[in-house]
Amino acid sequence: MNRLIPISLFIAFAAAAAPGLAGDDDLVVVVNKSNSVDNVTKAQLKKMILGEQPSWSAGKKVSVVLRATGQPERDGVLRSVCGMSEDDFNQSWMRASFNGSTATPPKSLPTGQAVRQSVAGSPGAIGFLRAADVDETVKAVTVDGIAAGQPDYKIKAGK
Amino acid sequence: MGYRRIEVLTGSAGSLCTLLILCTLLILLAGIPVLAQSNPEPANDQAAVIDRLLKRIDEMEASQQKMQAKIDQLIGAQAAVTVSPAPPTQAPAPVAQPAVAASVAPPEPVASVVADEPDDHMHRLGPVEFQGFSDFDYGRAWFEKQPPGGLVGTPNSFGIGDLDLFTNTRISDHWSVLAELLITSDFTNEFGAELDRLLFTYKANDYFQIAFGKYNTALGYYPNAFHRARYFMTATSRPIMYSDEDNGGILPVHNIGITATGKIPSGSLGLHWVAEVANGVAVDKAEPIQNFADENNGKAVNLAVYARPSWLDGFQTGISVYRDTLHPLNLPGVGQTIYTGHIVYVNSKLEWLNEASLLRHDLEGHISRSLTSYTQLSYAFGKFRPYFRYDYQNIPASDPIFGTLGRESGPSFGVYRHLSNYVVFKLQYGLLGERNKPSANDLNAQLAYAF
Repeated sequence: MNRLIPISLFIAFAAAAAPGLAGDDDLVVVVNKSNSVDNVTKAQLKKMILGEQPSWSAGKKVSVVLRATGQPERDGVLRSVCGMSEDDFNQSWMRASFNGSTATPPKSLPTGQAVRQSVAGSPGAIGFLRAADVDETVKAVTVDGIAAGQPDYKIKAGK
Repeated sequence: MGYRRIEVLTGSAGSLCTLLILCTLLILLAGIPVLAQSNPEPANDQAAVIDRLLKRIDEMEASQQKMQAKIDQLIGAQAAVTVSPAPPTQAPAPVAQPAVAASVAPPEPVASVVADEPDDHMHRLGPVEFQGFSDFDYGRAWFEKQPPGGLVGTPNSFGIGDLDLFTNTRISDHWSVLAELLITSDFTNEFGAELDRLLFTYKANDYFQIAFGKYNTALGYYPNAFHRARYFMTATSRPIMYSDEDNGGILPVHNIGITATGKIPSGSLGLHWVAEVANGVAVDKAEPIQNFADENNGKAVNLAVYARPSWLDGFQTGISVYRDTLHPLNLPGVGQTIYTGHIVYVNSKLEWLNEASLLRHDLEGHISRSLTSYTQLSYAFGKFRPYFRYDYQNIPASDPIFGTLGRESGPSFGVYRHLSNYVVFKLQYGLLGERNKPSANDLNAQLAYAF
């Protein structure tokens, strides 16, 4: 009986902690507070990152902000949204330019705070942040109707 | 580099603040006994001094936090200016940067540095950035770059491909210039400059874009997906179907005129339209792409529509109709109509391209029909991408323009491997059968690169 108590406590603690752990890798999609959008689809996100959707439905130009090359947040976005590696992503932009696209590639910033400030300061901006980096200066949106932290949320940082 | 400097700045700024706090404390603490000796005060006065000191420390800590916040802002601003274009060498649209952004901003207005696209009047000219593409080959010329009758029996040779210099520069919010210049040679060993594309484009919105200049005719998929850079192509060369006009090609893959395109509001179907008006080609001239002098007043017209459904990412299908009148030597005008269809599916692993064109030539009521087509399939296994292509082109002897070319068909297969991000190695074997001619089979190696 005495043995069961700590085991039960451990199981209860693990069960309570599990959802939190699952959400730790989630990347929250954030937009400027002036943006009226509350939800984006994964397909839209891919188009925005690859320069195929240059503007929001309200007409404002899309400006994508990512973390710098090699950072797990960036790798995670490219993998989980575009299904691409960094090399694939570069190839895609080279080819788009070669085919006449004049879209502007995503900005690359070194910290979550810099991403947040960039999104907060640019009306058409969209970025990806860990939950700890999100504050009231930006607006979190759902992806395909699912908010970060929920079980089926798909946009996660790389390892 | 800039980021590292900021890190050093962060470290030294933090150390500086700590040092300032310590110095202030030392000075103040050193002053306490002096004050106490010269002007002895009761114990409650000493408590007041300590309170003041603690308050001062709080103020200095607050000041340090403000400095840290400014440093963080500077990091963001610096990164936005210097690290910004994600893919390091892509320069897809080397937009002339506004002077405001170039002169690194003061700390506060981060938003102005990383803000939206610059307004139209903020664009500045130059410097124009070029990307380069080329390739180095060993083997026998497959079907390109050959004189009429081919080069059967020639030894294996080294060869350099076209040097392709490319720029795509936005000069305002709506206007951009795209140029692709080739330094090219063929079996004559002579090199020459050739303008493959030069387009001055106005993009009003996603639904309407118009461009003026020399372009790849929007007949099908391949020419406008790969253009002339073999670095982008899976195989070592274009399909026979899309050979250049001056190299045995039967389709008008280039034109000089006006091309317009845009989306069609069609929801998830992803429809697009293309309309083109151009001089067309001259069939009996060394340089078939007509510039300045068209053979006739009637213009070549091409209309196309294609779909990229959002529910099947990577899939594209479309059709086009091209119409022109050709004027071969010693013959009356030949009405030319070209129907082209394509179905392709491309994702990061699978590439499956299928295209076919039916050429209809009408010489005073005598109709001849020719078919040119290919299918290409490849699949990536890690860095390796094996591929297979089958070309088929059949022109009846009765065709008044291309009747001597006859039938050309055959498979080619090979493997494509990325050696680095901008270097690709390909090894390809091809077998080309031609009507009334011995078959040609060739093994080719190619290093294609971008810079």
